[in-house]
Amino acid sequence: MILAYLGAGALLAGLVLAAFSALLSFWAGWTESGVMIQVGRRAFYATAAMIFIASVILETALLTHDFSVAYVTEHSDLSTPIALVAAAFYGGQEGSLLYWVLILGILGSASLLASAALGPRLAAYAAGVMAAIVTFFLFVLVLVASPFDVLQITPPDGLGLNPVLRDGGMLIHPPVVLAGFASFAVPFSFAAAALLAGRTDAAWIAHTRRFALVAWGLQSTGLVLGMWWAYHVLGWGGYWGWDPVENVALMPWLATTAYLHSSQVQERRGRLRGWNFGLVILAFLLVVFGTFIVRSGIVPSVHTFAVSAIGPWFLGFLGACLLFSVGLLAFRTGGLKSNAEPAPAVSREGAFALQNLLLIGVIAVVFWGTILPLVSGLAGQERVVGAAYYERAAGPLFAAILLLMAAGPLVPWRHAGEPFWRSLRWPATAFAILLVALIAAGVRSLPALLAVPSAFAVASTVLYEYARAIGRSRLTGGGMSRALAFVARRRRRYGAYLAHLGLAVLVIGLAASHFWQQERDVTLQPGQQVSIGGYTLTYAGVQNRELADHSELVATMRFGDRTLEPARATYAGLGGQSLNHVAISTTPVADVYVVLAGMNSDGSASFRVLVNPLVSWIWTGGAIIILGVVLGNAGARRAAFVPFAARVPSSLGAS
Amino acid sequence: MTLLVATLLLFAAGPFVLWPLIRTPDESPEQGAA
Amino acid sequence: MIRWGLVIAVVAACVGYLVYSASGAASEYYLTVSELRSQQPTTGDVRVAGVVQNDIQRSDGGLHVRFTEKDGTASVPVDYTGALPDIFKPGITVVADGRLGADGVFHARAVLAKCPSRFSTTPYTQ
Repeated sequence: MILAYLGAGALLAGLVLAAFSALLSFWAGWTESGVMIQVGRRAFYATAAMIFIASVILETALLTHDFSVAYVTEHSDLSTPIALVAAAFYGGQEGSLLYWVLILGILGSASLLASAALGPRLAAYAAGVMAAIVTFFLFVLVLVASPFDVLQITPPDGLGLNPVLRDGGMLIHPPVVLAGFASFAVPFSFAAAALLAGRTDAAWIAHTRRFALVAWGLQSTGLVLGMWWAYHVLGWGGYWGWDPVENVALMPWLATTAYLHSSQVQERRGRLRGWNFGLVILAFLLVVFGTFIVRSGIVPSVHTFAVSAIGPWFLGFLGACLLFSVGLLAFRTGGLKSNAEPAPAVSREGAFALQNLLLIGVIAVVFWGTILPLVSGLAGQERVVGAAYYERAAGPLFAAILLLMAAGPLVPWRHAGEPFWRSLRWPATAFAILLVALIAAGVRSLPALLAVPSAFAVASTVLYEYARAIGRSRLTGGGMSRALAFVARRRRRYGAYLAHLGLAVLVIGLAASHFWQQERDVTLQPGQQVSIGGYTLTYAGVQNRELADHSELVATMRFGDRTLEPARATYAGLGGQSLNHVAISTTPVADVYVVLAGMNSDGSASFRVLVNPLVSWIWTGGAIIILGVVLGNAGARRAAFVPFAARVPSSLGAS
Repeated sequence: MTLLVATLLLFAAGPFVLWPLIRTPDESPEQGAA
Repeated sequence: MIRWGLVIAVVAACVGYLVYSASGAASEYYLTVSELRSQQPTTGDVRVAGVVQNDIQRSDGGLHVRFTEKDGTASVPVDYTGALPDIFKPGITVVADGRLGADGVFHARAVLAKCPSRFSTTPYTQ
């Protein structure tokens, strides 16, 4: 009981401090009052501290099974494993909102501490924007959906966690994705601050890029973890369903991917400024949109969403953010134009500009698919789209992006001459070889014939660039260590190439497991076999195992020297709720994936068996992407090239 | 009760937040320092 | 500048075309059970959302199932062959994707069940 009041009090104090910080920071930034700017910033730090205190209190209430707190009762019970009790912090509506704002408080504070080089006014406006966002969330947490609501009578036990959610994936995937969402608020705040302050030059880019990278990294990890969890736990043999919840996690990621590339054009040539600001702002608007969609129950989704009270508030917040952003961009549109000459179309700049367009196109496709139920429902009969729509509409765009990725790193910044066209033969050769090989192997699906060769072309470009770097060092008489030092000095670039390689690997995994998946439903007597995709599995029999809170029916399937044990667990205490434990045998070549559908009265067992080629490449590719980003940005403090402002003397640059 | 806790916490945070004001009461507000 | 505007226009037109053709070909009506019952059978698959009732009949080791979906007033028997989601049991909301046959039975080619809610504020009733 007392914990609930302490927590609610901390949130209320945080709300007051956040509102104070927002108002003061904006005012102090305008009047450029150094002292007040500091006070406003400290108020933000204090807000973060209050949120932290509230979080500690909620976690304590969970871990001590304080069922007087309604949230604890609703999301845990005495029999839930302690790790999952702890994870309930971000598992429910109110707790996940608190987690969201906790991440923003921490990352926001870090971004302010690191903002010394930006100038006080810009930092003050950024603090103001972040504080305003925090104020909204705390408002909802204090007045609309509080995690610290108290039950009149303390029950002896909680409602507990559904067994479907009792899985390790629950521990990792949601907090990473939620953190990713929250982190997009930081680059947004600094973008808005730069526009407010009229500072549309490149000084803002270096700082914002770092935090955009953090957000992008978190979201990439969250997306891959989500796919991994869906595949390994949910048992339908797939990893991505184009469900609204998945789509809203993808869209800000796409916008930020575009930004991370297009910001280089602003760094080097001072162009595409409007694009960069627009992309960072779009990413955050998509996050707010996504949060609204996910928590309001307004479009049909595999994830149950009750129409909750916070929906309208988030809609209002989305409207406010939209008005603010559009107004700001319109107001500063003059300062965003660049006086530098546009580069020729076939140039690095042109490639990045095209990339922006294509990624925006993909976002538009996904966005439309996500809101179609809403729009069609308003106009008449509600309609939904399935995976086929996304593949047909976004597929060609993805293919174009892959081809761009294969050529882009090779194209120079200014004039693309002979050397460029010659270097294109490497990815072109890789593409051609794979195309011929696939056709020879009997593949006739056009998407597959485009996707896989393109991915290999991307990979070959990366390897070519690395080979060139090593070759260049060798030329000047250096050895391998010299070459590595060369790469390390330009690690932002070569780390990015590594990430490209990771993406190529991931795409190949996606393509193979999508286009060449094989599936069979079979009913087998013990001793019978099933053949699928070159594997022969023998069903050996079932066993019944009794555990503490559930019984398990475990089937044994053998193939080669491997044994798979798909199982069905039945939780008597939860009304006979049953749960499938998928059995997966993974090799670099393919996954053999077996689901036990059930037993029959005649002693036979029914299975769904799948062979998913190259699935492990998806997880490996994801890991390589993260590795590339981390290595490429580890400790990189100074820019790898002369910043634009110093290089180009002119009347532009300042607002 | 909640209000009481909130008020106490605000009082605790006060000195930290207002420190720049307390520290430089007589200097010109146009510091410009981050 | 005109060149760049042209590029944008071309890309936008492509995207628009892709969206239009794909959603025309691949979208389905999303109906409640009552709407399914009251409408003329449409060509093409539809999705129907409803609550699973108590009369689940499984056969073929769980690979074939017949159950009834209901919402408010109307109900429809559903016939589905394939593995079912774990959460499937009476009281669960499902979305069946398929076609209503002349026999009055909805032949589903996919059944999606809603994940147990993390975000619904199911208040604890005392």
